[in-house]
Amino acid sequence: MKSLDLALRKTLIVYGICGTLLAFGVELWTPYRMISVLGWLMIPALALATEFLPVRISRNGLRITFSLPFVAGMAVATGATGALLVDLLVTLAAALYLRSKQEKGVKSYWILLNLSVCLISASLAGFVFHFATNSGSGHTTLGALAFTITYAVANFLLVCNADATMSLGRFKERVHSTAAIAAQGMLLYCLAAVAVAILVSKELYLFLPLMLLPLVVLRRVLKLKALLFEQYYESVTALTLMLQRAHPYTHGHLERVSRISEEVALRLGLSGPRARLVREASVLHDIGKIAVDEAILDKPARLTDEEFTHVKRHSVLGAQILAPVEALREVVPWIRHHHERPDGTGYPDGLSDVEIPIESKIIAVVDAFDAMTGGDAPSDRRPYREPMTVDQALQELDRCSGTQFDARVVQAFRYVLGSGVV
Amino acid sequence: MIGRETWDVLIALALTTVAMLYYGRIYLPKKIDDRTRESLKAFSTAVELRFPVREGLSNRVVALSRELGKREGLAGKQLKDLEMAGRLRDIGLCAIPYRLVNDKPMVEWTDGDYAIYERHPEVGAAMLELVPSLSHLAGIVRTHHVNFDGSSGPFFPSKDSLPIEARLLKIVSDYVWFERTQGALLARENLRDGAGVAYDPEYVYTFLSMLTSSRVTNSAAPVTA
Repeated sequence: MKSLDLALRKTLIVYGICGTLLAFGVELWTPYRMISVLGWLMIPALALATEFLPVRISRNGLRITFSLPFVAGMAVATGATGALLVDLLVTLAAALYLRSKQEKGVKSYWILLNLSVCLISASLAGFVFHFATNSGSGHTTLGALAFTITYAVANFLLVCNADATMSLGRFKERVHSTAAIAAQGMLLYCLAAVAVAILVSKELYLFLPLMLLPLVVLRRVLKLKALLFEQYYESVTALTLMLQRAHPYTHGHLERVSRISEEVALRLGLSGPRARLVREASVLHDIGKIAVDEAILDKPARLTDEEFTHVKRHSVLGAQILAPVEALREVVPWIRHHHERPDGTGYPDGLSDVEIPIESKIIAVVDAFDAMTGGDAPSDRRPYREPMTVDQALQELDRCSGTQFDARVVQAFRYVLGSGVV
Repeated sequence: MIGRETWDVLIALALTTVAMLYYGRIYLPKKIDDRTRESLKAFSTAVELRFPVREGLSNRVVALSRELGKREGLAGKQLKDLEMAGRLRDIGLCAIPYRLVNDKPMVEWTDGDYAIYERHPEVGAAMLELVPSLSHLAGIVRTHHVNFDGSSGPFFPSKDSLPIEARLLKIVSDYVWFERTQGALLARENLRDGAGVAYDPEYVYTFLSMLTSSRVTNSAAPVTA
């Protein structure tokens, strides 16, 4: 927890200083234009209204708000300084309101972080807007578009970075998962911003509230997309819960080792999303053991042939359990074949080296390593089989590489384990 | 006052909004529904592979409880919850010893065996409570074997607190089990005997009349072992 606090404080300080400097820059460089009172009332009011309609897109409290089109409108109307001011005030108001409503959860450092993120992205967008409109002889459409895109990209990257720091995840992973939710809305968002900018530049302030309509629609779409992702991860969790109930052992070790499997997949040149899927597959690979007699799995002695045949069913059964889940469709064959061997003596199908999916080979190595170094399953702690040290386990993997394990995968596994990435 | 460029942007905005409206109102809800169904199916498949006597029971329970729910005027979210609970009702069985169900005939079960077996609604509910998007079904799963008149188990809540979904599910899941083990005729007989005791009489009669109407037997044909 200590290191988390430190990392967070560092992020906060860096963000704060950058934000303040940039904001002063905007203040000095960009001009301010006067507009009518109606405009000054209408635009901030609408920005405030949208700020109170956030969508929470992940369980750790990451939220998206939709004030950007109106902030961009403010930039068109008064220049970058006005936009910066409105954005800052609106964000502060919403954050304070949220804090007063829910007693716990919203801490002051979170508000400060939000404000500095706002400062940086609004100032950057302000600069871009300034140059875009001056060189393009006051082209409002182009200016608003430039403002919106700069702001959105800057905000997105800053928030992902802060989020990755806070939850100790990886930056790239955050960018991927958040972009997958938000990307489709960007077109509508940009169009709304341009429409607001045009209405503002023609001083048609009374038509502005109409622009709330697309934003409300967009909000619902993002909410459902976030739900879709959440559901996917929750069903994976629920399946592992079932396995734990059938065979009471903690999944902690497997969880840790599955992170290694993701790194191994990346090392072997698989794409990011696919490596992520390998990670989930290696958490789920033994799901078929739900349908295996736990008395045999926990038996403190060597298995008879008959018992071994019974246990061997688990890879086929696992594939059968996951078969109806569309989101895991690719994973099903990997799980079916995770006990195949390159020398062709594996089960269930006795595939040859080239027929076995690389993902299955990764899972096989990770699974074996987990078992040898004393995974938490009782079956891994049989009296006749003491847990090995990491070095011993690696030697064993080397000894079996080429026959039981794929040589390349074992090499990549060694590399990842030695590099200390995980 | 409003130029051509403005109209272009406004029309593009309107069109995109309509497209997104379709996406958010029709496409995504359907997709979420489908995905939910699929993953719940994985749970019931897991239980049915563990205990092959139960193979196909879940599909039948879901089809019948959906029909019964409709006849009792359930709709929308409540009907969906009933269907989901029908799928999930027995996930607690994964914690019941493999050999008890698979190798020991039920006539030989001791009181202790029954006590172990009857923990499955509680185990299933405890599991669901750990999964945020399914936790609202925990109450139904926990009480889906509770007798209507309060004559079962120590954890019985009061009659009024028994959710309607749990009362419906009790009837359907018992019927499907009796149908598998004793045949349809005796299964109906058992339900009639239990009306007012184990089952809410009102729903039992709806269910019995539903079973004898040809439409239902066609749409949800029994799966024989």
